[in-house]
Amino acid sequence: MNRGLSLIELMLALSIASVLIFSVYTFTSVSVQIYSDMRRDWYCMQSIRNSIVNLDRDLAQCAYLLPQDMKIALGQNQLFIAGLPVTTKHAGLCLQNKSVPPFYSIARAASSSNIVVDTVDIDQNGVPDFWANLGLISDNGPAVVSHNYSRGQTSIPLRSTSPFCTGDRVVPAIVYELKPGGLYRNSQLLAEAITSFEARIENDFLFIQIQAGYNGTQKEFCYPYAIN
Amino acid sequence: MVPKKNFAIPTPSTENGYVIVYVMVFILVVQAAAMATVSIITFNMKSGNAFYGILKSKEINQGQALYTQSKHASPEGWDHSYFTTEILQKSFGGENQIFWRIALRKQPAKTIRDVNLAGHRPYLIVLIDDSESMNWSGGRDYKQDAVYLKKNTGEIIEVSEEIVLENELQTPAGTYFRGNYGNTHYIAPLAGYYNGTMPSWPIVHSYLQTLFEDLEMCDVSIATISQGVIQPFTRDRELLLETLASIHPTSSESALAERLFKLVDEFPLECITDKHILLLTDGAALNDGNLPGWIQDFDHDNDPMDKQLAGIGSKCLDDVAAYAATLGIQVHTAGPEKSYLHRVAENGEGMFMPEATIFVPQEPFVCQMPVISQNSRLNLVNKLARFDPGWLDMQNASFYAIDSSGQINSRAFFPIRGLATSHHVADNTLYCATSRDYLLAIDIPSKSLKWMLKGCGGKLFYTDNLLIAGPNSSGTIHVIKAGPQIAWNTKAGLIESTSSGVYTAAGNKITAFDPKFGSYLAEFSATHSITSLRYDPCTDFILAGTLSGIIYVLNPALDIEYVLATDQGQEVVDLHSFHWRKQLYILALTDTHITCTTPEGIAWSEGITNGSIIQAVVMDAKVHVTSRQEAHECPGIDTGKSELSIFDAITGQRLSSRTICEGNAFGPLIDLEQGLIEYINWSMDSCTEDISTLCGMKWLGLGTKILPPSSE
Repeated sequence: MNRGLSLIELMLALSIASVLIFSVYTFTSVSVQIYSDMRRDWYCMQSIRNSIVNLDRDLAQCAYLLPQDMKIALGQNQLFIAGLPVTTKHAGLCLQNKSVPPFYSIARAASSSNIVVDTVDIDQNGVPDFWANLGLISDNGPAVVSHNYSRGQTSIPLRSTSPFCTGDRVVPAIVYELKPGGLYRNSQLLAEAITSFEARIENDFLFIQIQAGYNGTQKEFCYPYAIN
Repeated sequence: MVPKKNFAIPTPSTENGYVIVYVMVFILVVQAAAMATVSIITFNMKSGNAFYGILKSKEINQGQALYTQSKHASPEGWDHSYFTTEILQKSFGGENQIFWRIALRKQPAKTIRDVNLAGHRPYLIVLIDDSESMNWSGGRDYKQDAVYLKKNTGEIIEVSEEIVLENELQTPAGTYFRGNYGNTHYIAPLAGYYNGTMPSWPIVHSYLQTLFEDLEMCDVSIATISQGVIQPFTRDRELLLETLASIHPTSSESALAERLFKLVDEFPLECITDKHILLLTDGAALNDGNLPGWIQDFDHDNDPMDKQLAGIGSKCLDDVAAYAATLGIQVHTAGPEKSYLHRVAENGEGMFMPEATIFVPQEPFVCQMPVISQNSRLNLVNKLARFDPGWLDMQNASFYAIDSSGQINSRAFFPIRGLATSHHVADNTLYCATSRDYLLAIDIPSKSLKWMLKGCGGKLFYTDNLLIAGPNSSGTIHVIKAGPQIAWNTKAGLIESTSSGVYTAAGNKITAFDPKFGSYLAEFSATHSITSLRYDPCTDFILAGTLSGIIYVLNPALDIEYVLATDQGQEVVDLHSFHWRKQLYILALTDTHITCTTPEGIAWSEGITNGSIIQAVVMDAKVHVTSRQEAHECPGIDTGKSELSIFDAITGQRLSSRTICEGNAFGPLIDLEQGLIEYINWSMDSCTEDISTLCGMKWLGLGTKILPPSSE
């Protein structure tokens, strides 16, 4: 005997199907929402992570072979960490037999936008230790080497107003700067989601407060570092 | 028969097709959950991995660390002469940590030139009978194997140098003869009467030479019976020996008592603790006794000869000796063995043929800092005015002397003479020079004397297996190589040594020599006399201070790098150098001032009130200056007070000042392990200053370098 669907069966099937479809839709919608939130979180955290990893590495090597009283300097939205980043062109500071650490340059002349140092090869290994966009820390404050600096010259143009005085010690530094595009390290974009970067020194501790934001998602991280 | 139904999607179930919906929903849910889980896990893994890296770098690494130590130039703010930088590299777990601390290059030893003890200032008048009777028999025969010289002036003396001769040898200086030959051919007059072939003169002459050899810290004047005082009080041994050599027993008069009576007034009134007169005579007075009546028989022995007599016979000498004793003057006698000379010495409360030990300080004292090496502390103690530390084992030592040709010859045992006035430690060997130019090489672990060399003294250096000593009392600088052997020598007043050159200064001239061969390297002439010389091992500069206060900074080739001036224009007695912020600072010490100069000019200048500067050391940009307020009337290392003043080395600001000891402070002795500097005075009272808080006393970090993965 042929049996078709009765009306009741059809109604029941449609109801169940509706519920199922709604459930699937809701589930999918929630999943997409969660996934989007997680993507934003991840993006923020990735920026913070990238910042922290670099900061941590730079702070771990802070003032290597440099005067230990010139480790950290703060500027406007800037953090200067004494040291030389290891690059393909520079292996970082190294200990020579003829030289005695700590290494530094002496400012022989200083103007508002320029500084003349006694040497740019502070570890006396034959390789200049200052280059463009690098930070500088002196006894009187920090500054950033101008993009126009020609490597090897003892006359160093500065990007901002110089706090330096003649006779100051000057050491190279890695500079972290917050710009509208994100957090920059030695003028190279490090993390674009960073929206706030605050560094302060309290009781020999450096506190770095980093905030990342993306599409309404905010993430914050505080990094403490014992200076001495 | 049931007709077969055909569905677009056939299902294996014979039931209604709802089951496929369940399955699909189930699969969908599982898939979504799995995707969400995987997404969370991935995110967490990335975050976790990143922070793991951060945390890992902060963990204590359990791996084996590799330590490397090296010595570098002086750190800034520390004296270039005395300190170096010790660098420690600790490599582990892909990290390279650097630490530094201060290390000692050498102790700030100072050569002491003239040692006085105000509490012991004996004055000795040596009264020599220069009458003809001293050529008469002295009651002894010549020593069989000894060599004697009959001078052209007639007198005979014993010769201490080794001269090869069989019987006699004619020379321009006179005739040398051997004792056994002299006993038959050089018989003194009245030899039969006194039972001896040798005259009295060689007896007193050789005795006096030995006495002068042994005397230390005693002012000596020489007088003769015929002329009175011919050499005022001095400590210059060479001068005394020259004066002795100029005396010839040719006088026809021998007024012993009269001359002794006159000499009791020859002593200084102040700064004198003991008065001695040593009369060297045969006791035969000639035309003597012309004295006040009350003194002619001062000892009331009722000797009928206690009166003035023409010719031989007056015996007033013992009376004058007794009188001198009442004035606090001890009268000693030396000469032929005669009871009368014993009696004179007895009356004079002195001794017959006294040894030098009665004229020297009896209590032990030091005039150098102790030596610290391998946990041993060795005090360089002087006893009876000669280096006699008590701990020194002289068994199995070798003895050498520098002969007149300047070469070293092996000798039989001879005792140490002179005070320990300079020292240097190298390779577990303590080299110590005495004020009498005796150079000792002492093995520190066993405290035993390895060898002693007579003829070398002054400041000591040790570089590249060469011992450089000088100048000695005759102004000679010796460079000694293993053996010991003389590599070369030269004459100069000041010396400084490096591994590449020996620099000497004489007058206004500085000369550089090759250390190994003594060949001339370079020369520099200053406008004034050079009064201080210092090598700066950090800059490789030679610093020379002058009488007029000018400082020359010279390179190793003795070319001028800088000429600096002090503001006082006084004699520069010492120089120190350090650097601060890459600026070379030179401290010039005069007697009363410290001037700190840079190549740009004078940084600061400070005076020391009521005292004179002894020593200075720059540590952690602070100048530790010891100065001494001396009692002006009676100078000596045991008088006055020593002060330690600490100045800021950059600004000259006086930071502190305190008395550290009575008398002259020797030192400092720097003990970096204990974090102390120690000063010591003549009686070995010590005073310490804590330097443990100075920057560099403990290991200080210089940062960490994270090595690239390839080098891990």
